Amino acid sequence: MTGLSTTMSGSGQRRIMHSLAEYGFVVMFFLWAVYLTLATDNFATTDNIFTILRQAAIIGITAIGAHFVILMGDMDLSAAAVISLSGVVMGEAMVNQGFAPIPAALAALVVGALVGLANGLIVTQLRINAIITTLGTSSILSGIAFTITQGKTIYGERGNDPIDKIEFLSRNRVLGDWVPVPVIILFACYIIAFIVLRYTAYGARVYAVGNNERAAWLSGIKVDRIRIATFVVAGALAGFAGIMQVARQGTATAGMGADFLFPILTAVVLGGASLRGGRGKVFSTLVAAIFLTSINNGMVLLGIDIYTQNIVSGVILVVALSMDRLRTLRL
Amino acid sequence: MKHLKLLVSILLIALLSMASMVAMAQDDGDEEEPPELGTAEDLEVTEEELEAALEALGEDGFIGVVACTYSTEYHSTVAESAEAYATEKGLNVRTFDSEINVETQISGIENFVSDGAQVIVVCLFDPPSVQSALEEAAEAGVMIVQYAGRDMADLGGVTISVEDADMGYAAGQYAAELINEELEGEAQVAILDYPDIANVVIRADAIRAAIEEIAPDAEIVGNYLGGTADNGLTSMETALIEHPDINVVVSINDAGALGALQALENAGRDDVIIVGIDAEQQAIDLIAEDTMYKGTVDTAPARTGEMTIDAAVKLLAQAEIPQNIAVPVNLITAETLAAEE
Repeated sequence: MTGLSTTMSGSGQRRIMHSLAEYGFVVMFFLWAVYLTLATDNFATTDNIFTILRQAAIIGITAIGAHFVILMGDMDLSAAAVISLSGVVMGEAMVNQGFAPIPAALAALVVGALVGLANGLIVTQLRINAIITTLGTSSILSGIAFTITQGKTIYGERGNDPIDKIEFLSRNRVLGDWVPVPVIILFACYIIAFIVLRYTAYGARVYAVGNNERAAWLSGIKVDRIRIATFVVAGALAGFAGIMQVARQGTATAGMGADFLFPILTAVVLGGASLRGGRGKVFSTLVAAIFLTSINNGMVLLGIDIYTQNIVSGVILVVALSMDRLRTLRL
Repeated sequence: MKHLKLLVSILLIALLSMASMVAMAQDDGDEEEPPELGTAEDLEVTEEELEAALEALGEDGFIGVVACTYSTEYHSTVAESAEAYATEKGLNVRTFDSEINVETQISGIENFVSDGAQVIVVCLFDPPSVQSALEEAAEAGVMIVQYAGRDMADLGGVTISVEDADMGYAAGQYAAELINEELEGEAQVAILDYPDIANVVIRADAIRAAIEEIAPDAEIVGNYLGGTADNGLTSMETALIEHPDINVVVSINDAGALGALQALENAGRDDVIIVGIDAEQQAIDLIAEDTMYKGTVDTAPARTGEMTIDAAVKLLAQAEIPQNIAVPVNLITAETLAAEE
């Protein structure tokens, strides 16, 4: 009997650990959300939830591209700089050069895509490690952005500001004046990303390259082309995020993307994508991006001292990442 | 069992780290005598001094300007103004962006010294961490001019600074006066802060001190992360959820305040008093247009840049100058702008 009860409690424990490992940071997110719901009056309100989702949009959209790159076993450290440069291009085109929104947006997207193309070509043709490559391009992009702006803020005349023409990307609500536009865009991007990764040949090839590059090549997959295409996708998505950030801020500055790199990469890693490539669910990256945004949101609602916020967010992240680490341990 | 132990260990380590950091107490420090402050007039350069400085620099020597960052209008204006002014006077000058990174700044200083800089004009965002690099520079005969701070006077150099406490107090004072005049002394105040930079914390503390002294019935609902437009915007969006009646925002710089303004306008508010620091052009435009943005503290970044070069020339010419020079603080409001026209 003793042996039987030991086996049963052991198996129950394994089930708990298995669940924690499988759902990792989601458990932490759930506990954090429950705590905030109980400890504050305003966390679990529609207004606040949409605020979190709206704030997560920039990180979330850019994280899709980062997710794609990490699926291949690479990493793109230039995403934040692309947000800055594309945003500056958008702002400069509209405010100082008189471009209409669509051509300005196209210019910003093209800049992002071209950066991605450059990254992809350097990685595949020159065989330089992606981390080194994108670190280098990040520095170049930052310099270009500062050169364009000369360190100043790009903004239009109040009441006649060209940037107001794209403010709908940030301020408007749809579906009965209820859901913010950035939230719709965020979820639309993730649905498209999911469909591409799950149901298209390109998506299958991205996973294949990440899983085993040599095997993918031997099976006839054009590994270099997939790699280049993925960096272009990542660049274009970061460029789009730059456009949305200009709409959100109403201005463009050369450093506007600088604070986004850490949360972008953290969202992908926390969402369970393997840095070795070949594994990761894009919707997990979305949940992770929302979780990261909710940490800052929750600390403000709790009234946590600004000087203590870094400690608290660090602890939450360490615990969440640790729970996630369990999934790689043998159970 | 093994994995449960691992999980518990990780949680304990996290809790221990948090407890140890929270337990660290800051030293109160001894109260120092405020330094005697010179003025811009003390830095007026004569023709002879300029010639002596040019001779001292020679072909290979130069003045190295090490900026804290180029990402805000204030800092980029100081550095660019210094560079332009020096070039206009025929002085060799080079600039460097520390990107608010200690290692980057240390490398920049060391490279300038080894390349032949004779004067380093530097903005320090974390003075204790860079002190040893500057001490080595001073030992190598490089003269130091610090702007936006006074920490390096001990190295025999010159400091040219608006006092962060003065800037913060001026902004807080104006906000408090408006609270008393327009809101009958009662308000819900949000302070936008940027604790990553030690000197900026002094500004935020001075803002708080001014409001508590001049508008004691105003409630300061919290310090929120500002410093950049996105931080100000994000923080204000969330702060309004918890404190929807915030009607005064005072920021350690214009960049954060402008982000907060965006958030307030997005929320349909037009009744908030906003005061910033740095006198960025966008802020000045908004003040002139009688918007929610009511005031900003002019820290005279262009003049500061010129004064650093004047100080460098004086040092190269071995002229006597005060060790600490004050850059005057000016409050810019709709009234002062109208008076200028």
